[in-house]
Amino acid sequence: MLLSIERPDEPRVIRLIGEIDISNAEEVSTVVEGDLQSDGDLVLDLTGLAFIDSTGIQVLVDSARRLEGRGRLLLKGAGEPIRRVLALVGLPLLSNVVLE
Amino acid sequence: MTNLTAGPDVPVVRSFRAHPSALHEVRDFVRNLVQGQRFPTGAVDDMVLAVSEAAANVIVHTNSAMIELVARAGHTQIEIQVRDTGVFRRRLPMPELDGHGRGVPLMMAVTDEMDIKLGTPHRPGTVVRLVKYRDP
Repeated sequence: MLLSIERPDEPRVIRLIGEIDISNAEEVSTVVEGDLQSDGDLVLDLTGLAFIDSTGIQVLVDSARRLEGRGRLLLKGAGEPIRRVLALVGLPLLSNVVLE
Repeated sequence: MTNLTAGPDVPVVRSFRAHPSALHEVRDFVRNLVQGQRFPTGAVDDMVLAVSEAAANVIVHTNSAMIELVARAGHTQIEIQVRDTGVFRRRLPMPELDGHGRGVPLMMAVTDEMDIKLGTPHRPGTVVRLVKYRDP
């Protein structure tokens, strides 16, 4: 499997393990949808994320926009290559995004 | 395993199915190729991303059945061309609609040279040329 999407016991935490590209970005979108409909911070654990492309980044951007005014998008554990790409597209500049 | 020692006059050529599930293979191929040419990690990641984006565009925007990568490595740079056989459906980028608007700017941001020759009905076959210098 190119991507594993896991939900640990804590609420509003989603773990993304593997690679996100056009083949599975929509799957990520579908999984976060439930949490986006209610208020509060959403944590995406990116510790195991090895690759993300522009369609995957778009899912993160859309998620942040949906949460605006209702919660933050907390991106945790991203490795250096992922951090670099996210910074390149300006994702951390969104007011409710925290890239840890 | 293909001989991945690409030289400037001896390109490595490899074809992939133009299907989303093939992107992973494309990335692995590029990673092995660029690592084999002793580029640093950051440069490897950049080329993997750039080629993946170009390949994704073939899949999304053309009717091509195949994606062909042509890689040429030299002393100063590595060049990978992403070629297809289709016709690019020209339209204005609408990132709000399909989320693919960031692909081309991203390719530009992570490569040292990039150009795109769009396929037309009279001259089909888009070619995206991506170059990474050894010394940035």
